[in-house]
Amino acid sequence: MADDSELAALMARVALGDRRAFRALFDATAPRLFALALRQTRNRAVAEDIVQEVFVSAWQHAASYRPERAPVPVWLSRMVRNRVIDRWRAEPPLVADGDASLAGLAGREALEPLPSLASREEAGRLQDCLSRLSAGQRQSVVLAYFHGLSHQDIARALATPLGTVKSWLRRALDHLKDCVGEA
Amino acid sequence: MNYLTPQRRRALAARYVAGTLRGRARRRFDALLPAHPSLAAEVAVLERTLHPLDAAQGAEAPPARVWRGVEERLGWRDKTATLLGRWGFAAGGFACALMLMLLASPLLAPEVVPTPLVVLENAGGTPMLVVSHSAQTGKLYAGRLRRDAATPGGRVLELWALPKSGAPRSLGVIGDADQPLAGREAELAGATGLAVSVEPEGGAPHGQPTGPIVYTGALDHI
Repeated sequence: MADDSELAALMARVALGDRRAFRALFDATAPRLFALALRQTRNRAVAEDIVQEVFVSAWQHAASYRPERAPVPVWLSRMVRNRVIDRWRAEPPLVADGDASLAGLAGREALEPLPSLASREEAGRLQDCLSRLSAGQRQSVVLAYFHGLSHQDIARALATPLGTVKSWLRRALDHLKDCVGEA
Repeated sequence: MNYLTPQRRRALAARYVAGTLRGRARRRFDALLPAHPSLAAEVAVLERTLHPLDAAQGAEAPPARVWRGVEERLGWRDKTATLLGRWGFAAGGFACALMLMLLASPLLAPEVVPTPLVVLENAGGTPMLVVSHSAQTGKLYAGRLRRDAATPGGRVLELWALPKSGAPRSLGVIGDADQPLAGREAELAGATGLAVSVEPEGGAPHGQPTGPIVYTGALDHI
């Protein structure tokens, strides 16, 4: 996978209408974006459609990309997440999977183990900071960010009041930001 | 303008990045971001913090049809090319693909590549149509971004330039992405936006939109 500055250089060429650079950007970033969309939608057709939309939009808005604001993969991931959430507005989540899936997510296996993070330095730091959160806070972050669950979904999955989930998440992100930032 | 307290800013940014800010609130927040650097900075820090989790989801190359779909939606590949491609003619790799290009070249998109000008969205904010122009020829092109952007039988979509004041000017009925519209780029002079209306076959009979406006887009950078 190309590093952030290589991807930023590709984006600059894409903004000038360079289709070969666009294809290279797709090849370098689409696999992770597709995995992200798949995990969050649990539906291959929808995930494919979202990745398509994101790249169409990336081509059209390439000129507005600012590398100082976010690395390319972060910028593209945000587009995927926004579209996943948009879809959920139209079609409620977990429709295909039903309650069994929610129960599965609520199971210990889905909640406790954090995805094994890449060995990069910042990933190690995040892992370290995540491990300092309370179990409820950590589970809320993983369910929201990683699995794409709403406050209500998380409250149901953890059998916890909605207000508690909201405050867990807020405090968890506050902590993570400070913890990762100060290292 | 700083109408968000730091505390409120942090809380909203956290919900935005975690993905729990939804619906209208999320769209409002998205719209605030470009104009509020402090908010954007808060989001940027949180996104960078959590981004390694994305990398942990692994990677899976999407099927080849995803890239083909991107090209189709951008109007780079017409349906004829896709059909021929599926026919297996291009399966032999680059040489065959090149041959296909030569054989099918009259059917393919024009040689001069149009540049995207504006994206039109439906009432729900979903991008539906991209209007492009060719700087060399002054021709305009319109490509549908979604398959459901098709029209009910017997009706057509017509593109309009919206001047600052006065009546809309027709830019023509929307057909295939690689076919230029009847209207030329010069007719965009003084227009602040584009709109698409649903019209009877052949286009609006009296040169003014008669059906509902279904997509709109602002023209702010020409």
